[in-house]
Amino acid sequence: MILSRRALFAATTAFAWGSRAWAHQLIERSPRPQNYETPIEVFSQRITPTESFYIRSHFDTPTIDLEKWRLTVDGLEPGQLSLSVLLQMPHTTVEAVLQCAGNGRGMMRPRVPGVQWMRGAMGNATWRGVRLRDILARTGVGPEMKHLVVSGYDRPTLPATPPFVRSIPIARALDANTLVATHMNGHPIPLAHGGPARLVVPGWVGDDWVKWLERITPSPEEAKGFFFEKGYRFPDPPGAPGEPVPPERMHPMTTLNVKSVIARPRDGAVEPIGPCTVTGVAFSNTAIKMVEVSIDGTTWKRAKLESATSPYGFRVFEAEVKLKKPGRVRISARATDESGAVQPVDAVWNPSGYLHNAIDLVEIEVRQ
Amino acid sequence: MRPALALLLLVACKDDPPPPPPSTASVATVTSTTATRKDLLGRCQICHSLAHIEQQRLTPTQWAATVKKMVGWGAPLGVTEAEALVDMLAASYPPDLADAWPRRVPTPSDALPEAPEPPP
Repeated sequence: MILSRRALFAATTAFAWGSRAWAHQLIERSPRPQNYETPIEVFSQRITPTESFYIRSHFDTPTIDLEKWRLTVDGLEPGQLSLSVLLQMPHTTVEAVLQCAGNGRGMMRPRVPGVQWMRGAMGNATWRGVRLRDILARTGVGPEMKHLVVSGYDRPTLPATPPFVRSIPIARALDANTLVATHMNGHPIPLAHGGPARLVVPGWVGDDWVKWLERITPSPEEAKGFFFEKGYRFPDPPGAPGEPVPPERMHPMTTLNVKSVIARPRDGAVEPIGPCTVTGVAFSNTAIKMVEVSIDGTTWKRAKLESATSPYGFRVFEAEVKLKKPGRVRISARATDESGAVQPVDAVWNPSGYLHNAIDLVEIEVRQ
Repeated sequence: MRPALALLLLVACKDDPPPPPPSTASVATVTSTTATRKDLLGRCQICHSLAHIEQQRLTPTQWAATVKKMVGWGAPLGVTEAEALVDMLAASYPPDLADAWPRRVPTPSDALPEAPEPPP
């Protein structure tokens, strides 16, 4: 068969487009609103490629015209920043882990409602943008302003559904690492990830990394509404698993907790007798001190860590274990951060299934 | 009374005898009332996909709390419909049902960067 030049061009273009579209896959938790999980094997590398990065959305993805997009900053004169103005301001880059509060919810027992994320509602990227404090410096934030209320362009489908509005303490907003980010892994943030601009709060849980930024408002008070006053709260002290927790013991989540995840070998894998390399990533709200690996749950071997690039990023770990006889083997990993926090045997059960960080386990089968 | 008929009557009139305990009802029993199920789940799908429901494994109490929350958020369900939905969800997606097996799909086009990633 002889192809015309036009047909050949069409065929090769379709192949190129198709291969790009199919080259990266996500685990579909919910197509609407968009909630997609990163496959576990991606976590053997420090930077999570944007194409493989998990997506978390509360509502339908908004339609945004980049020419007309504005970030309203209350107290600023003039009160709105266009994307071109934002891109002309001094910018900085931070490498940081973004993790959904509910990552690991699917492993909580007793079970809790919500997107049943397993291990992949997290990723590590470089985020480039304008320091939030550089924007706030133009507003003359007074000492009475203790919080920064933040909202995005996403809207609930029904008018009775509460909008997604969060607030962070002004001290955290003024931190040098808190950004109004426009770039992710060196490229403009894709729409599904909150482009053209999202908040980046390194070391803090993803619910504060507000997507599709629309408005920031210095305020003497915390945000009002469901997503701050009821949602995204963690018990302190925790209650018994499965038991309701009184509202007065539920507090807004702030920082990530120490965690490691095994990328290889994969759960259910078959491995031969002999040496086996265990690889994964670890992170916390501060630098990781060490990761240990065990095949008996009792004796632990310190893993080799890749050199640190950011206290807020992934640390890739690798350890070789010896598989001596056939049968099922449980490989576990536990991380310790510089503050001394250690990954626990059991995660703190809470009614919304937030911040699951139990020692990670994969079960493999060893064969002759 | 046949289970399918019992569930249909339950939807129509809550004073009828209650169905078997949710944890023992099978998914097949519930799916036999396709029209009602489809209609009720359609109200949920105004805001979110069915997948969001199908991955849950909850007790009747948790389903009741979830539906109550959704009604408060504007889900168009009358009292009887909400009760029928709770019963149906509790029967279809109880805690002891095997986990849903999510599929892998191509990354949505609006999540792709504008150009190929530079080498790390």
